[in-house]
Amino acid sequence: MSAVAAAAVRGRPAGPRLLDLVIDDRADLRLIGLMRMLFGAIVIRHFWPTITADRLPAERFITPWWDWLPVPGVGGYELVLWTGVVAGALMSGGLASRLATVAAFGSVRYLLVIDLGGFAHNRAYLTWMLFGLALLPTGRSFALDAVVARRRRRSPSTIGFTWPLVMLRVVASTVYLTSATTKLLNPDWVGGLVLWDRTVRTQYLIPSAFDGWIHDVLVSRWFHRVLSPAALATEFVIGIGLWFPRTRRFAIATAFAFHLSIEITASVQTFSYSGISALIIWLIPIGIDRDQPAGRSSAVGRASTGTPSP
Amino acid sequence: MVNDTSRRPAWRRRLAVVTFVSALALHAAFIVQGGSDPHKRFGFRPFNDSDEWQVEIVRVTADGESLPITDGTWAYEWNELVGAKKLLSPWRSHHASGGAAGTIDLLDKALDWVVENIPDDPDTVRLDATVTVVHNRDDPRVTMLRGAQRRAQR
Repeated sequence: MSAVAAAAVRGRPAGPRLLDLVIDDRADLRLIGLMRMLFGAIVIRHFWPTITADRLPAERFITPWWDWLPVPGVGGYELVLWTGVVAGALMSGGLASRLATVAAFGSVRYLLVIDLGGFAHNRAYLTWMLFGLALLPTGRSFALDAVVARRRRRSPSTIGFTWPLVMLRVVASTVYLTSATTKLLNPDWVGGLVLWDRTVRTQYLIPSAFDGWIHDVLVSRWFHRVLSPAALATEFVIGIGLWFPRTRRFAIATAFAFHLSIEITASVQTFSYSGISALIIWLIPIGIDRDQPAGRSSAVGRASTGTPSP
Repeated sequence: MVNDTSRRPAWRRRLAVVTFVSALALHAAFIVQGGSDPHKRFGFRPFNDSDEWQVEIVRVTADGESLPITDGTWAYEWNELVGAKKLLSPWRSHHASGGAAGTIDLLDKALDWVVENIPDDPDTVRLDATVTVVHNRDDPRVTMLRGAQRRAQR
């Protein structure tokens, strides 16, 4: 990585130097407003099955992650739920963006940890993304907050510190890498047994338009011997390729296709939407992407004119 | 990159460092812990196994009789009481989407919860379960769960 190389040249330990680079770097975070907007909609989509269900989780068996955690009654649950929904709507519109994102994060996180049975990886991913967004100045673009500020002749800069973005990048890439690595260590997965078994057991879900040889291929053992390693390779390509500017576009395109294919073939709640929306964090050039030594990149000139946040 | 000390108070920079490092340390800890946690919470190990599970639940009465909850004699409906998607109609074979270990752990907690929430059934003192799991097409593995004794009966 270029930052490590720059640090090595300066003769200082690469770790602390890289941390300085990450913590002090600023960039134009305009696109983060778009990500906030999308994740606001995802928060509403996340809560939608609960809103439209006959009963709330608080009205049936519910067990928290830890015994000491208070579980609200029906009224309390509804309050937190609707706070999250309203916060999601405000996030999408970009009104009181920071407050709305914090409220959405709190709501999603709390309702997740009071219901062990409701845990799913896509919800953990959503929680991380909301946490990161809550640390970023997301209300300065694609936001009613920005419109209001302009009307008051106080147009805020879209320059901000990028360390929360780096945090989100680490989380996002390690999700792909953890998923791939743990599968790689599982012979049943690498050999295609897991995917094949799932496909065979749920073959009634394959559309009748695929009856015939396509159906036969999809449920065949050999097809999954090939598909499984390919799926693992895809996750590795995404998780690693996103970090390098030269491979980033390819990794983003691969990730987009990967999430789209999962959305079509499996039920993963909001993961496809979150995974695709989170690709925005890789579209913003930040300090660790730049080859120039610290303090000489073009983005610094822009950054120095802005009002950083947080 | 610029040195922001003039723009950002030192305490805010320190707070940023602490938040950044803590968050990533927490993320790493969750990922490592995900290997031993039956629910793999924040461990990001989706679709790792193809586990099928099915259970026979019996209610144990004060006189020691074991009655299947599906025999039509119970005043309650399991699905109505429990309601959690992962535990619906457990007497039928289901895919354990997060892995069988997490489902069994959740079922164990549900057995304890149910016995405390059946006021119209004073006879039942405990729920027991016999869980059959087929892991990645292996031979079936049977696990016995013994629910907690009803508090009022202790």
